[in-house]
This record gives sequence, structure tokens and C-alpha cells, in this order.
Amino acid sequence: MLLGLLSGIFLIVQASILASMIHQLVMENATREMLNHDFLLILLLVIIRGVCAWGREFCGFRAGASVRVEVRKLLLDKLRRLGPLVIGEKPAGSWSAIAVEQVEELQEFVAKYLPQMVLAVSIPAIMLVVAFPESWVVGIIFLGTAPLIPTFMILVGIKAAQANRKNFQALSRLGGFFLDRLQGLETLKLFHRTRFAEEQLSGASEDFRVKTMEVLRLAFLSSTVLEFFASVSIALVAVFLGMSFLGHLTFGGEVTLYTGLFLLLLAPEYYQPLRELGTYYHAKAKAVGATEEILAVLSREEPEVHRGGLIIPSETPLTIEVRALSVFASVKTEVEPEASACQKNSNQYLLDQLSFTIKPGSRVGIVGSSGAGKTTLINTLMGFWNYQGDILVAGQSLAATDLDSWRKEIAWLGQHPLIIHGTVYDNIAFGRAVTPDQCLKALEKAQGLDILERLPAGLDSSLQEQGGNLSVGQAQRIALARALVMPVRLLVLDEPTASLDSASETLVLDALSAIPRDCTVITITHRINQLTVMDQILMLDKGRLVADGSPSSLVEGNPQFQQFVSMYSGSLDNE
Amino acid sequence: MNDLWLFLKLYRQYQGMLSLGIILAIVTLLASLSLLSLSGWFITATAIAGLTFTTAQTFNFFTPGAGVRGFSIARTAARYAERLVSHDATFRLLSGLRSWFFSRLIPISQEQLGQYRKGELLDRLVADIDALDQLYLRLISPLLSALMVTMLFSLFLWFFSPTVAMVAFVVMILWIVSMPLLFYVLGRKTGESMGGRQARLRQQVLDYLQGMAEQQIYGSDANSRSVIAGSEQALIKDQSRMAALEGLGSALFVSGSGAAALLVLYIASSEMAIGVVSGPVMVMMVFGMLASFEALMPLPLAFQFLSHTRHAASRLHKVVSTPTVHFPDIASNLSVSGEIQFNNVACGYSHGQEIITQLSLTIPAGSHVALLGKTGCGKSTLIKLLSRGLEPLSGQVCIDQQDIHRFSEQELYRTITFVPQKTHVFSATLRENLKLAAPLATDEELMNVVRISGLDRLAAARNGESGLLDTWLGQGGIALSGGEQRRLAIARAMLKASPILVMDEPGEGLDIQSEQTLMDTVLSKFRESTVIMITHKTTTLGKMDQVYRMENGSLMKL
Repeated sequence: MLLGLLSGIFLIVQASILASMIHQLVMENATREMLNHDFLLILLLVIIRGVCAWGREFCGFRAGASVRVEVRKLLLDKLRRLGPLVIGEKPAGSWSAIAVEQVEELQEFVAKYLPQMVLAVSIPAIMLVVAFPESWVVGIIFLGTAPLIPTFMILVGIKAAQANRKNFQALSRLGGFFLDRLQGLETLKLFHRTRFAEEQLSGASEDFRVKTMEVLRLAFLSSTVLEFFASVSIALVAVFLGMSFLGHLTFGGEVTLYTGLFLLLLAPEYYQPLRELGTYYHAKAKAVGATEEILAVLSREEPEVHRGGLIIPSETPLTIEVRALSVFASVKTEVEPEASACQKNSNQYLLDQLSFTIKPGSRVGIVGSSGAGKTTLINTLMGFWNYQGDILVAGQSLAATDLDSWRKEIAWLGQHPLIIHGTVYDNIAFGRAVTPDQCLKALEKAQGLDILERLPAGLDSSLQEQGGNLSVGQAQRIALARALVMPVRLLVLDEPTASLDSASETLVLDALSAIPRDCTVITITHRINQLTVMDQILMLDKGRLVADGSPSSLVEGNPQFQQFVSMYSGSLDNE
Repeated sequence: MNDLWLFLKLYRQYQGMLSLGIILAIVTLLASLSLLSLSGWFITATAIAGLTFTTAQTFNFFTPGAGVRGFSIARTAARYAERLVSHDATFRLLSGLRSWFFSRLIPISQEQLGQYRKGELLDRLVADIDALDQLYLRLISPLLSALMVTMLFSLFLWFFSPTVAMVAFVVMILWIVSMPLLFYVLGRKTGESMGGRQARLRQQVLDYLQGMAEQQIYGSDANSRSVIAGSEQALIKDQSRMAALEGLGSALFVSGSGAAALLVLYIASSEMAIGVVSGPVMVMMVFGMLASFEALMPLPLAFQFLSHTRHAASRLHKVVSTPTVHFPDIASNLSVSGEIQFNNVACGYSHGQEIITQLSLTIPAGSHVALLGKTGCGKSTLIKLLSRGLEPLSGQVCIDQQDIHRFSEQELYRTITFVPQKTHVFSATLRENLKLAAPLATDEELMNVVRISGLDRLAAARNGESGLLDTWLGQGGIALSGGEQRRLAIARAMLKASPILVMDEPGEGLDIQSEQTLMDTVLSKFRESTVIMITHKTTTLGKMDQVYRMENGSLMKL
């Protein structure tokens, strides 16, 4: 910004020297040779201004970049504190779009729009100060249009921003419409309605064009008025000076050719900063949109963290005792105020007064229809969710336990295997200090050594986005190896075979059955056939625990469990 | 470059508007140039004339005075008109490009299209199209205007001093040729690696967010964050190179315009010394030179942008040149009884192994058949064969003894009604979502189907039944649950009577009771038609005439 100001001042000096050179050449019959040093001086000024322009661009960029880095860090920190549950509300892509693309939108605003705002006021002001002593009439012409500048900054600012927003909305709606039809292309084809959709599409585009043009007609008008004043003031200055030279106008005092040319050179530059500001409005509009989304994330309420300082003692057996555990949905309600008003009371129970005990080393199955609270239960056990009641692990309260120390005892495997961008090793080690040898052993335990045979470079082969070069079954076994690579005392599995074909399912189940008995395994499952090997089954229904016992005792004595078994045994996937 | 030409050809349709936009842009620039030059001349001429009283009295100030005012008005008016016309043209282009792209996508086979459906690829395609419609506003119009202004300005100078005209022409042409070239070459490499780095950052952030649970359980948060920070720094390094380039562009512009004006002054002053040009004309030349650089200003940026546009064009080109499905134009036979035959069909996807091997099956007209199998055994592939979403590697698929390749597109889709596994809910009203299947259906018919498919329960949570058909669904409206989506798909099917009905997992997401009720309704509606139902559940098999079990790509009668 300072460089911009400097450049503006140099511009005035340059105009002054240029005007005086011409004055001398024309009026005083100076020869070119006499002015050589002036030529050189202007050349120098021109180069300095170039450097200023470059520096301004670069400083602006640095400012924008550091703002982006800072905002992105804030966002990621916030998302980390919000935790996987909040992130899971929307596709991860829409979060990352905010953290990556939307943050990028701030760049132009910080780098260009903000400094230009200052320049648009200060440069005309400096020029006025210079112009008045030269000729008060021209000063008045400049000044007469000057009050219009703040007016226009507001007018153009509001009007153009409105128009721009409408324009962007229209465009993005049109884009959304187009995207929607592209995604539904297959359906359109099957109903032989593609031609119709095509017509609809061009109809909608045409409609948007007509509407947007109406808005733009107004928006352009405001910048046209600015343009008009710029043009007219040049014309007025020229005519006034011409008339004064000819003696037709006598007020305004004596003017020389130098004064005339100097002022004429300044006239277009007087309005230039404001015109440039106009070109950055889109940057502002985009930044405003982006800021709204970023703030929406940053202002989200964080789940209260219960973070004690106790360390899980390694020698105490890892018994999990749950007493009157309740979990509320309050964290989630603010997502859609409307939906939450009619669907979820802000204090609705996700888990209601659960009490049970899990002995160390036992195999526990959690069953229940979708929405019964199974995932909430394991998320609470892993410390992702705030709760009421008591959870005692190895005899001490989870709320008073250091989460990192607790999580060192846990490994987790979800329904959809997560494969990150990187090598097989990266995916198994997952940022922990693990030797390649340990990785291989873990992969062996996960029945996944055959995966390496197909890959070109073993552990160092890179895996594509979302496991593009792996089948889901292979990806799940790599994720399992990740869970097994460090010895843990609790393994939590959330429907580990739900998305697998039967062959991979067998492999994964084999691997799981080989887990040593000193490790507790909690599994959420829909598959009846997997339940028989369990020591204990917890059945949930609408957040309440409706069955707790061994599979054989439940099959005999629990009607809800019996109904569950009969409902799910209709699926071939259970054979 | 060839890819760009393909799209430039599309511009031809809008030639009139586009040319008008460019002409207005040139008029604006010329008016602005003339305003300054004439003002400069006028002041200098009057200053000289004002030296003596007689010349001052005889000086004709009306004509130039009027010219100055005229040019100032012309500049304003032309600028306004230019912006209106060029934006209008851009919108027309946008609509044209999208329609064109959509119509080119229609015949592409489902299998080919499938690879673009994944993730954000589709979003990128939409962004690519947006990039292309900026081609005119950002590239073509500035380039043509710059060239025209250079020619006209030099021509004008020629009348006063051929030497100065030559100098001005050479300087401007050099600028027009070298700047784009310089910035295209300098910008290309950084631009490309910037794209890659941004993609990597996006990927890593996505990995980080998706893996948040793993991150926290395995305690690798700091590690992932440092990786992200590293990518961010790499991206910023590229961007700062780009910004430096942009800065260089504006620096060159500032220095260039000043230096060029100075050069003109230098030469013109020597011309003046030997009497070729007068003082006022020299001032006019200098002012003109300064003003004419306005026309050259957008060039560096335009060409930095070029490589971006070129990539967009080549990606789109690649999409539209994928193989298409051909349907014969002429109808082969008109009434279809609905017998379906698979004769020794083998098929698989272009990568990987065969999914179905040597499958033969005859489904007599009017019979109701269930295909039972586990997830991922190739059941859905059979449907794709029938909808021609996938071509068999060998063997044929026949309807009424006719190879389905001989059915025209309209005929095939009129003959078979599909309930696909995934229902696309269009961002539109419920009415429009249903009318897709039956464009001529009345509201009464639609409501009837809504009731029997159980979609009227949507109304329970909303504002009663009256406005139900106008309920907005999909993006920006109500998100349907999995079960509701199935109901919508089945409602669509019931609106379209046809000799064959094919359903893929119609009961998914529904509880057993609703599933059975819904199936009863559908099957009685399609009593006379051939029905194929694909499922992994055994719950509704009782109502079928025949059940086949599919395993490892072959069929077993049960």
C-alpha cells in the first residue's frame, strides 16, 4: 500500500517534469539536447514506479498468503476440536472445500481490494493538494467531483455488491441446476427425457440471462457515472485552460502551458484508483461469501471436552463399567434450526440410562436397528462425545482420564476403510513410529500379505485416492493392519464387513478371530452369523439397552432379540 | 491448441453479438485516446495562439472544444454499451456451451460416464465450462481490441509524422507479441504445478478430515498437520511466483507506457526541431501514446489465463470424445409382448475380469422373476445389459427374439421401465420429479400414485396434502430418506406402463411391512408385464413366479 502511495507521488513528479519539458520545448524553443537530463530523470522515475508496482503486488500477495495460512490453521484446529462426529454430518468434501477453496477466495480481497480502498481515497487527496496552487479553477473541478467519490464508493459498493451477489447467486444456481441434471443423466436417459431436459436447461439459462442482464444494467450504470465524471472533468479542464490561454476567460489567474499540461496529465489519474477499485469488487463479493461460510464453521459450538489428567495404569485389567450412561443430541441441533425444531428436541436422548459391564478380553457384539444409538455408544466410549453418568475404565472414571492415554489402549476399524494418499507403509503406520517390519507383521495378522504381491513396490507402493487401485476388501485389510500394528487392549469395530464381498469378509473374520484373548473386542454388526461367537451381546433400541447377555441366553429368553434375529435372517448376506 | 479451436467454432453462432462487443470496446478505447490527445493538442495550440492577441481572437476553438466534449460523452456511452453487450454475449455463450456439452454427453455410455461421476470430477467439468465462456471476455476481446487500436493509432500518426508512427507501431506491436508470449511461457509451468499442488493440498485436507477419528485414536494429528502445512507452503511458493509474475506484468505496464511516451517525445521533439511536426501535434502524440496503452493493459493477465483455459478445453474435449452408444433410428417392431432372452452372454468392465460368464436365461412374457444374490455378485450388471449401459463382450440380449441393438432408443426405453438401485432426486418439485416418467399425467393421476406408493407421508411432516406436489425436493429442498427415495422411484415406474419392468433392490431402506405392501401394489399394477426383480433379501420372493440365484456370474434355478 505504501508502495502504491509512493508510486502515486512519483507519478505526480513525473507528470510535472514531463509538462515542464514540453513547455520548454514548445514555448521556450529549447532543444532536445538541453533536456537530456530531464529525459533520463523521467526514465528513472518510470522504472522506479515499475518497481513500486511490482513490490506492491508482491507485498499484497504476502499479506494475503499469511492471512490464508492463519485462517486455514484456525479452521483446521476448530475442526479437530469439533471432532469426527461433527465432521461426519456432511461429506468430508464440503468441509475441505471450505478449508481449501473458500480460504483461497480471501486472497484477492486482502491482497488487492483492501490496499486499493486506501489508495482510492489518498491518491486523489494528494492530487488535490498539488492541483489547487496551480489553478484553483481546476482544483474546484476536481474537488467538485471529489465529494462524489465517497458517495460513489458507497453507492457502487452497495449497489454493485448487491448486483454482484445476485449475479453470483444466479450463476451458482444455474451451475447447480446443470450439475443436478448431469448427475441425473442416467435417470433421464432411462425415461427417455434427455431432449426435454436439454430444452429445460437452455430455457433456464435464457431465463437467467434475461434476469441477470436487468440487474447488470443497473450495476453498470453506477460505474458508468464514475466514468462520465472522469471524462467530463478532462473535457472541462481542457476547455477551461484553452479558453484561459485565448483570453476568453479571465478568472482563475495566469496559467502557463506547464500548468495546463501538468493538470491534464493528472486528470485521468485522479479517477484511476477508484476505477481500479471497481475491478476488484468481485474479489470482495467472493470474500464476503467465503467469510460467511468460514465463520459458520468457526462459530460452531464445540463439544465440552472432559479431559482429566489420570493415566490408564498398564497393569490393571481393562474392565469397562458403564453406569446410567446418558448422551444428549444437543451438540448436533444447531446445524439446521428448522429441522431441529420439528425433529429433534434440543435435549433428546441418544442414549438413555445405559448400564453394563464389559470384562477384559471378552468379545462383545452391539446390535440394534439403525438409529438405535450403537455408533453413539462406541463414540462415547472412545471419548468423542460428552456424556452423563459414569464410565469406568480399569477402575477409574473416563471423565478424569487423559484422553490420549486412554486412546493409546484403543484401536478402531470403521465400516468404510480409510485409505489416505500415500504408500502402504504410510497407511499402516499412520504417522506413528513403526518399523516396516512391524507393518509387515501387522499386515500378516490382517491376512493382507497377498495385497503386497500385486503392488509394484511392496510397502512403498503408493495407493491412489480413496484406494482407487485396491478393492474394498483389500482396503479394509490394510485398515485392519493399521489397527493391529500397535498392541492395544481394546479393539472397536463398527460393522467391519458391511461393505465387503464374501471372500474378503471371510479373510477379515479370520483375522479378527486370531486376535489374542487379552484384547477386548467390541463389534457393531448386523450379521446374525457373526453373533454366535460373541461372549456378550448388547442390544439397543431407541437409545435404551433392551438386551444384555450371552447369545444363547438371549435367543431363548429375550423377545426383542428373537424378533431381531428373525428380521435379519431374511438377508442372503447373512449366509 | 487444437482443443481450443473446437470451442472457438461454437462461438460462431454468436458472431454478431461478439463482434459488436469488440467493436464497442475499440470505440471506447479510441474515444478515450482521442479525448486525451485532442485535449493535449487543444491546450498547447491555445497556449501558443494566446501569445499574441490577434491569433487568440482568430483561433477557432469551437470545433476542438466540441470534439473534446463529444469524445468524453462517446467514451462514457460506448463503455456502458460495451459492458452490456459483452456480458449479454457471455451469458448467451454460457447457455450455448452448457446445452452443447449436455447434448454431447447424452449418447455417452453409462460405463464411460461412470468414471466422471466420482467425487468432484463433475464439479470440475462444470468449472471448466465456466472457464471457457470467459475466453471471449478475457482473451479474444482484449487481444483484438489491442490490435485494432494499434493499427488505427499508428495510421493516424502517419499523417503527421511517418517516423513517429513507425516507432509507435513497432513499440505497440512488440508489446502485443512479446507480452503474451512471455507471460504464457513464464506462467504455464508455474500454473500447471500450481494446479497440481492445490489438488494435493485439497487431497491432504480431505484425508485429514476423513481420517479425523483415526487421527485422534492413533495420535497422529500433529504429523498430518505438518504434512498439510508443508503442502500449503509449497502451494504458496508457486502462487508467490505467479504473483511476482503478475507484479512484473503491472511493472512492465507502468514502465512501458511511461517509457513509450518518453520515446515518442524524444523523437517528436527532434522532428519538431526540423519543422516536420508542430508543438501541439507533438503534445498530441505524447498524450495519445500514454492513452493507447490502456488498450494493452489486459494482455499479460489474459495470457496467464490462457494455459488454464487450454487445460479446461482439453479435459472437456476428452470427455465428449469418449465412445458413445449407437441406437438405430428406425423402429423395428412396434408391439412387444415382453419375452426376454440372454443368449450366452459374457460381460465385464473395460478394466478387470469378466463379471458374467456364459449366461443364458429365457424369461417368458408376462412372468415375474426374482434374481437373488449376495452384494456384488453381478446382479446389477444384468440390468445394465438391458438398459444398454454396458455392452456384452459376447452373446446377445433379446427382447421378443429381437436383439436389443435393433431397438431405437425411444422404443427400448418405452418397452422397459427401470427402477435403478440409486434414485436420482432432481432438484425440482415433486410434480416435476414424477412427471419425468409421464409428461402428460394430470395432477389427479400423480396424486393417486403418490398415495399408493406411500409418498403422501411426506405430507405428514409438511403442510398437508394440498401443496404436496409443489414440495421442492433435492438440493435446496427436502432431502428424501433412503426409503422415500425408493418410493419415489417406484412411483415413477408406476406412472409409466410398459411391457417390461426391471427393479434393482426395490425394498432397500424400507421395513419389511412397507416393502411387502409396496411390492404388492407394484406387482398388481404390472400384472400383465414381465417383471425382473433383483434383490439380496428373501422377504418378497413368495409372490414371484420363478426365482433364480446368482453366484459367481452364473444362474441357478431355485
